[in-house]
Amino acid sequence: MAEISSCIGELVITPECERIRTRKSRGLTDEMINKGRKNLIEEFFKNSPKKMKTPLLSGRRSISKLSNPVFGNLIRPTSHKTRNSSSEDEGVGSEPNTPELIQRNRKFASPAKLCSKNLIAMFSSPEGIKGRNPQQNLPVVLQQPLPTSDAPKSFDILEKLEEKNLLHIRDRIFGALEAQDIHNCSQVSKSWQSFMKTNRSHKKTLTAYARAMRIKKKNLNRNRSPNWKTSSLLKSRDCFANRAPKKSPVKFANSYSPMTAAALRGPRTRKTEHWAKVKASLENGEQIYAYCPFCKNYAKKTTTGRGICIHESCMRTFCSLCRQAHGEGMCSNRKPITRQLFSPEKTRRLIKRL
Amino acid sequence: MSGIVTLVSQDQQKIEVELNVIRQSKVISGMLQDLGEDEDTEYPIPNVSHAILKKIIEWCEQHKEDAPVDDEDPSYQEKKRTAEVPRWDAEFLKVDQGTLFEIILAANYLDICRLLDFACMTVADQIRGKTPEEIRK
Repeated sequence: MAEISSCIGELVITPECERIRTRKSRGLTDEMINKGRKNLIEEFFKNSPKKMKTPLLSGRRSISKLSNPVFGNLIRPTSHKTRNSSSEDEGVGSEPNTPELIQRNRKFASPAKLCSKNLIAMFSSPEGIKGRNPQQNLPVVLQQPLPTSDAPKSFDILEKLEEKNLLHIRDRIFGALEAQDIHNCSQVSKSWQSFMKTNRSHKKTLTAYARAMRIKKKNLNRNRSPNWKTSSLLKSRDCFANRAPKKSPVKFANSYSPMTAAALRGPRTRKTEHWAKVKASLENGEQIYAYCPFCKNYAKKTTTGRGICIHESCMRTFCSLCRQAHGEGMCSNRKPITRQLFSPEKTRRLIKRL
Repeated sequence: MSGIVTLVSQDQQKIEVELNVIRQSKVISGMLQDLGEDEDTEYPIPNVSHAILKKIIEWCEQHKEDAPVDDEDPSYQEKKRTAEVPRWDAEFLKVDQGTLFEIILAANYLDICRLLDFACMTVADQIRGKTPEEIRK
């Protein structure tokens, strides 16, 4: 008990008082306490669970809960030494454990009760809750009114002018701006953008600005190295060079790919020139075959029965039966190529348009 | 003829102004011609509040010696493109957006070309050189 009393010394409660309180909290009636029936009390304690502890007297932990800083202003931190001095200041008397002092100090130990008393007083008052100013005891920050959602965030002069149908003033404002500023304004909001599009002069300015920006971007790309697009791709390919097996150059040359075809095709000629050649060959009675197997250009059939590419950069010959570049010996494929690009008559009829 | 006229603002408050000051407004000078320049006559300005009317009179007092301007004059149009807002007018128009809007409306109503132009140029200066996000703020 000495330990307990020392623990709750801060609360200025005597051991006797606490003993009574403990009994009450464990369910003992006033009759049992007053009559002092020891037997009954002993029986009660025997029957009660061993680890049953009151919240207040369960040691230092419960005391520490009470001395929570939430109620720091309500619990007066007093010790045995300070208690005397406080009592002297108040002029109650020099005796520390007088019942009056205990009774008065006890209210500091139960802040919940104190709060409830205040609440009861508040509800019972004729003014009620409405009579009290709820922001009276709040900190300064919370006393300030919160910004309402109705308050406008920004004042849009241009929209207000549109509401009042004063579009000529808006024209004056935008008339003083340059093309870039007008472009920025068109990206502010949909209403501004629609206004820019409806106004003819601003629309003209915007299109001119967009065109100028496009040209500027094109020039920027032109100033870069010619392979600035492919260089990044090649770099990325080099990263995977160690992982992927390298292909033999012979195999790469034989296999057809659009890249190789484009490389073999060489510089592009005009369509008219190409068709003129086709026309000349048809006029000579030569047959135009389907595409050259090497460069995918048009090919013609020679008198020997072989195909020859029309294109100057290619000019390769191939077998007209199997479309392979083998020698002039007998071809394994006996069937001739039936697929022709155009029949001579049809082609001539079409070429008349040229 | 003392050369002082009384203007009545939107909130029924009277302001006395010198004639040569208020001649900057084409509307009021037209009213003076129509109604006569009597001292007892009160000229109502129903679309302009008292505070804004005071501001406009303050501007007119500053520019009372300036020659009247015709907005449709091509020489003035050319000048307007190249001209900047004078320092005094820039300081005068350093007000919040609401007041600036009211000044624009009043200048438009009273037909004070130069004030309207300066106000529009001030708004344009606020927009100039800003990104769309900055303009939104």
